[in-house]
Amino acid sequence: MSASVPTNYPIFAIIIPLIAGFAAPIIGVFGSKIRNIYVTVVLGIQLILTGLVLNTVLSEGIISYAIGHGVPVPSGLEVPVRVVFEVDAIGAFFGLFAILSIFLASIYSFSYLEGKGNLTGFYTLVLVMAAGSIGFAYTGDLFNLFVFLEVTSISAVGLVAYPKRDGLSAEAAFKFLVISVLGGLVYLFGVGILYGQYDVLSIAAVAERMQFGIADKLALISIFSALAMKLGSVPMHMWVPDAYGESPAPVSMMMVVISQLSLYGLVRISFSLYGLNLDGTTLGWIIVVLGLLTMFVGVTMALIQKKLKRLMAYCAISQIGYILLGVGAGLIALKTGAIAEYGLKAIEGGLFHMVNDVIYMGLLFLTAGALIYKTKERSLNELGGLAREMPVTVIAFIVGAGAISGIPPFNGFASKFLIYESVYKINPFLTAVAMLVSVMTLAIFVKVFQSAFLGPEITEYKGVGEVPTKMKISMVILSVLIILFGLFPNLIVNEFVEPAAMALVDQAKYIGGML
Amino acid sequence: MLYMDLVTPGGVWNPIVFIVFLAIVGFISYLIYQLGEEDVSPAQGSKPFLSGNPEISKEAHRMSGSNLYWGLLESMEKYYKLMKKMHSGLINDYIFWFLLVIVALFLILIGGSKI
Amino acid sequence: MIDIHYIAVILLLSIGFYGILFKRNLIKTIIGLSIIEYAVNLFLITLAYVDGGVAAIYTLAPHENMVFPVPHALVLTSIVIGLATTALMLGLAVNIYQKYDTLDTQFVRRLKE
Repeated sequence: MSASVPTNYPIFAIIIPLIAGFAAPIIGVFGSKIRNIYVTVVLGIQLILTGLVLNTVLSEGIISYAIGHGVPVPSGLEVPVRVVFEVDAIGAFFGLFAILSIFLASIYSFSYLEGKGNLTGFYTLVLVMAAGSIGFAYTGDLFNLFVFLEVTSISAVGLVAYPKRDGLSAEAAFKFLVISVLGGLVYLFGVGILYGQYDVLSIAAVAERMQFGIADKLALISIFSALAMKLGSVPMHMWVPDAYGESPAPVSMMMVVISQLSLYGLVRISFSLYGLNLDGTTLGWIIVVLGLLTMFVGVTMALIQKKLKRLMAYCAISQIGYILLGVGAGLIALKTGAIAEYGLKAIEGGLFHMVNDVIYMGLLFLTAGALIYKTKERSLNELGGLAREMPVTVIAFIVGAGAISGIPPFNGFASKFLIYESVYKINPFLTAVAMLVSVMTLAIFVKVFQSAFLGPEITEYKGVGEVPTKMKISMVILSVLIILFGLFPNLIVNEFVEPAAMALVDQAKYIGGML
Repeated sequence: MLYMDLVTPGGVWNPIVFIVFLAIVGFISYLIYQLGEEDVSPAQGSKPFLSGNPEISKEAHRMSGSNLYWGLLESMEKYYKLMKKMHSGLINDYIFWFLLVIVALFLILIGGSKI
Repeated sequence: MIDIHYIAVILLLSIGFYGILFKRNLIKTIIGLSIIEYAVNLFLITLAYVDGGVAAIYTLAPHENMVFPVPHALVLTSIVIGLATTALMLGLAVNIYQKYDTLDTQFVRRLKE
């Protein structure tokens, strides 16, 4: 491992926000304005660093970065006592979008949470979560994945419960925490089984020695089910509407990132750790079936929701289903040998949808937050006629709703189109369900649009006006990103998503990048 | 194959072409709209007739979110009954589902035959 | 011969899962989760165990018979994380009790459907 400057970007992207997070209480003494600038600057630096990492990975291939050194034991063996980061295209790509989302959410939260008491602790948690998510995306080590999983979960629980301090958010945070702890422990159990078998912890080394016996299957079950619960796949999704729905809007946006990171972990385990070692298409079909269930149950439950953010949380669940569908189809193709025919495109669709989902779900949660900020009303039935008051919010909402329901030319359509056409080659039924769910999503957002923005003016909301500038900035940036991604999907897919999908499929390269 | 094409397994998607097409259709629709009579305004219409009842004021006349799709939800009543039972909000049930998935995966991956 | 430690792990896991599945008190849920955590930690330690081995912290100890050091490091980290999560869970339970006046999970379900 050469210690030249470019290869140090990954560790700085984790260390800087981590130290800055714990230093935030000191900065907080100087008042909230200075603290806000401080948080923005730290996250901005981290954003630049993740961008540099992505740039390096795309131009020079996998970065592997080891902390510590192999310790030579006198008997001749070398014990690899070290922590390894292995950044490939998908990790770098996803890390960038995770930080972008957290960055925009915190800009939004400066206005949204203003006047809710001392929030220095809140921003400490935000920065720790930013560090944890980058660690999660960059690590090449099964145990570190567990550590960063817990770091992101604990900080997210704090973020859910901290700003509101009422009973409902405490309940939501408690449920989310129980789920996280249990998921983390089951994951750790699986890692223990793998360690007992192969005496190594790095993903690449385990993948190289994998034999796929009974014990490996047991490990797969624990790791897979734990991550599936953390990402909110049906039937283990019930914590999602609680946690998303009761947290403040910017935190919901960050929670989407946490779910997507778990999804990234699941994809990483399925492809890079097991991948070609699997003995058939069973795991691929399991992911596809979970995806179908997730899409359908999520969207039908959203149809009957009365609280705005709970409704959006169910829609977020159903969007996760699309990604599972695309990725599962890719895993099936990997084993049947149809990877060039449709498998790669299915994975590209899934990964592209993952990024799109972070963007438009974030935007929708922010518009919901804007409505709640101005009206103090969480129920959909009490809203109405707000389009006159909030022109920026309504445009942002239309863009986000168009993207989530897959209306061209927004970004959701491009990724959904890739998924539809690829899974059609496996079974047309899959495409039919996916399209039905899209239609129902559109129906749901028509309902939200009608009941929140249209209709006669309500006297108590007369003159509430538009939200503050910082909130508008976040929403406008996200809307612009949606339109750009929608208008030039081929650029994004060819430049970023395809290398990421190739990195997933090419398991041998991932193993080789480490050793 | 145009420059901005996104190639999919079954075809291509080009948003620029789509937008140009949309613009052309919009222009044609506008031309057709122009052919219509000019002096028709909504204000000319008569008052709504509600079976002889007096018209409610606009403010009191609101359709809230849960009024929409009432028929659809009614027809899926059995499904929703099941779903509401499933989403009980009990933390014990959340964990029960998790265990159920673990057991199902165990049966499929280890107990079952290779698919 | 089946190692007795693994039987202990399975037993602890079952007790813990019984606790979080069937007990209706939030504190008992937390206790159940802690027991599962101990089961996982015991499992990791068992992986490292060598009969009659010495701890891998002495430089001059005989190297032939040494327990594996890596799982010990893992367990140490896992215990620290467990401490943090348990403290956080207890804190939230206190918060719930203040607002709801109960710790029964049957009543801590205002968020449903």
